[in-house]
Amino acid sequence: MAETLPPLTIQGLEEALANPNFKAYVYIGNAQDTGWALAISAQRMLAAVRVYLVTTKALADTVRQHFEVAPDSVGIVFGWELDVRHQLSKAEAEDFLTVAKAIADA
Amino acid sequence: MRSLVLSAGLAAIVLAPPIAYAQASAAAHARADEAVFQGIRVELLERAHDGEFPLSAADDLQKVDTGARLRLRFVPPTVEARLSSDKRWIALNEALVELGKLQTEFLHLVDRATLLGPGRDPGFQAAANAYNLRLVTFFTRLGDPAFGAILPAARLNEIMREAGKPGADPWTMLVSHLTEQRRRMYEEAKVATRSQHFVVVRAYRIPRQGEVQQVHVEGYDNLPSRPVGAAHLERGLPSARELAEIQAALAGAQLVASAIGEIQTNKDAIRSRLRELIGNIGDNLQAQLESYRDVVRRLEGNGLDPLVAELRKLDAAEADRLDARITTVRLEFSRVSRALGPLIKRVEPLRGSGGAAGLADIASLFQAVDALKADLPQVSAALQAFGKAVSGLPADVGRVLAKVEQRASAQVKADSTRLIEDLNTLAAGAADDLFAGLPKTRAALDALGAQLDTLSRGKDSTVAIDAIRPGEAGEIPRPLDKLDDGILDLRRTDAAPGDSVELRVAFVGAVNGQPDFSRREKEIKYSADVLNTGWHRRFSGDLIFARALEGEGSDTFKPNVAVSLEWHYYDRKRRDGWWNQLDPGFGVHAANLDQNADQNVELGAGVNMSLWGGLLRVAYGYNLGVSRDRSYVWIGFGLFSALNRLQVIEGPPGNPPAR
Repeated sequence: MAETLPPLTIQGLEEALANPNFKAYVYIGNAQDTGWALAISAQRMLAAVRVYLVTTKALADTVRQHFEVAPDSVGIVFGWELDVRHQLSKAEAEDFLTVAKAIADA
Repeated sequence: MRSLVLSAGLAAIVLAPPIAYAQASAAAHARADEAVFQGIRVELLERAHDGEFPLSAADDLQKVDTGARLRLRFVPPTVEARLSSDKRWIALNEALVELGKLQTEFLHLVDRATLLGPGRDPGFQAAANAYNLRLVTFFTRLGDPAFGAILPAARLNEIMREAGKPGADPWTMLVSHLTEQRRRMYEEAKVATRSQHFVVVRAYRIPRQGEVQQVHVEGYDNLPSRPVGAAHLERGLPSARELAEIQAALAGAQLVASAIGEIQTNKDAIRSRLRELIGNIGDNLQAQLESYRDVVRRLEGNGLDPLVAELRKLDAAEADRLDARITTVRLEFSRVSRALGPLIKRVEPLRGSGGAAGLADIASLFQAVDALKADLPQVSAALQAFGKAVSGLPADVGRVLAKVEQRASAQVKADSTRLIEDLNTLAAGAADDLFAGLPKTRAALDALGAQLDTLSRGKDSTVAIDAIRPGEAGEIPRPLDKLDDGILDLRRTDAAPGDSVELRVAFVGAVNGQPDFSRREKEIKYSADVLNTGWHRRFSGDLIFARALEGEGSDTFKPNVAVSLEWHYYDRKRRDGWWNQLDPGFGVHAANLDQNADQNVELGAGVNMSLWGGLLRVAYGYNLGVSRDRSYVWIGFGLFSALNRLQVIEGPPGNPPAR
């Protein structure tokens, strides 16, 4: 299941991330980005992963601030709980194997 | 030296069954050489009168028939065989299987996820974690060179980027990619892009006597093809080649028989000379052994242990060193004693033996001298170590010890040199001294020596073959994709029983489409002895010891000569079976006899049988030159063929026997 913010809100995202039977991968960027395409593929190959796309700058800033991640991170990997396990730079998010490893490790 | 070897060889023929033959066979079987180059299997088949037989590159004790056609085949690898050794192919198939399993498991987890209710499910989490780890591990194999060649990391990223688009599926795309790779590899294997190599084939006939000859291999050289010869058709009367061999063997046997008569007549003088030589060595050995014992007695008798104890009070480290050195000296002495022991044991009976000196007695003496020489390196090494240990003792531990040390060191050095000189002198000149004034014996030894020289040259065939330079031999190099069968027709060579043939298949590199003989990547060598297989007849000229059964000439076996015709059977299907090992023969003979003092010419005729290919022969017959007590028996030795068969000859220094 891939969802996009907006229309999903921060609160909605937080509720979704709270599901203890799924890990989550939040990607900040555009739907045409390589990083997002890789996120979709990762979701289609890795088990129990949900991916979310944050497209607006305002929401991106809010997400980064809310989850206390670095300003240059575009990929945020959550574990089974509502905890940030990995932060990926743009380059890292554009490498499938790095993304897959981060999610598997989360 | 040669005389010693000859004498030991004579004794070996008499006393030892063909053990050497069996040992050589076992050694050859232990050696293996895979006849494959870049998946191309090389086969050599012998087509003879009784069927077709494969020859092995790993076995150089094979036999081929004189009338055989040897067919060299190059079997190209199948696509599957080529692929099965390709690591990329193996990795690819493993990846497809693993990918299928992962997908199945993924779908199972997706199904399970849809059924999950609210709340944490540790079982699901664990299963998902395990699966994710397997998937990542699968992709991590991209680092492996074989797998990475099929699915490079950049290509994986590309596929995943495409697979992230709406409607795309990464599983399908990955499987499609791998399947395409698989199809491509299969097509490539079918085309069989072989490296640039050439095959060069050469065959040689290695005659029992004479020079190595290169022989024609149809399709692989432009040597002239010869008409079919007669060697394989030797069935009835002896051929010219056989007659020449019989005459040579009879002449040799006659010489040896005369020599034996001469030796028997002069046995006391020979024994006396031999005893003198052996006695000198025995005396020297005894004296040396006593000398070494004296050294050790001195070392022990001068109270060295108390000396060490005293020294330890003054300088513990020096005392330890001295103690260690004394221990070493004692140890080295025990080694010298052990090495000298067998020498003394061998020499003593020779010095003290009484009675008449017969052929076996003389042969055993020579065997003993040969054994002494074999022991020499060990004795020499032990003596040198002993000398070194003694001379290494420190000089500052007292005058007594220094005196002992000097004396022992000089003594050991002198003794060691003398022993080596004695044995070498005996080996080099003893036989000359021994048989001085015995012209028939000298002539027999010279004849045997000449025969051995010829055989030694035959054993150097590899050297001779290697001396034939590439490109000079008229060969036709063939590229790997144009390998026809090569035919070596033994009927079109001079190959005769007793010869051997060698066929060499060399894979050489290429430069600008031409063979590069300097890059010999692999060489496969086939060797085989040539003989008549199945039922066949053999002539032989033998040294015999004949005795009448009754009456005059029945008191002793007298040396003489006989010519025999025997039938043998070589079993191709059980090549290493007991029958071939025993190689029995049955036939008739004509013998020259000396059983009646009144008759100048005595000829006998009868039946005979042999073992080990004529090595040992027994016969029964009638003396045609006398009117009574005509029955006789003899025991014979195929002396010249036996020398060849047993390979008792010594190779040239520095060159190990070629076969």
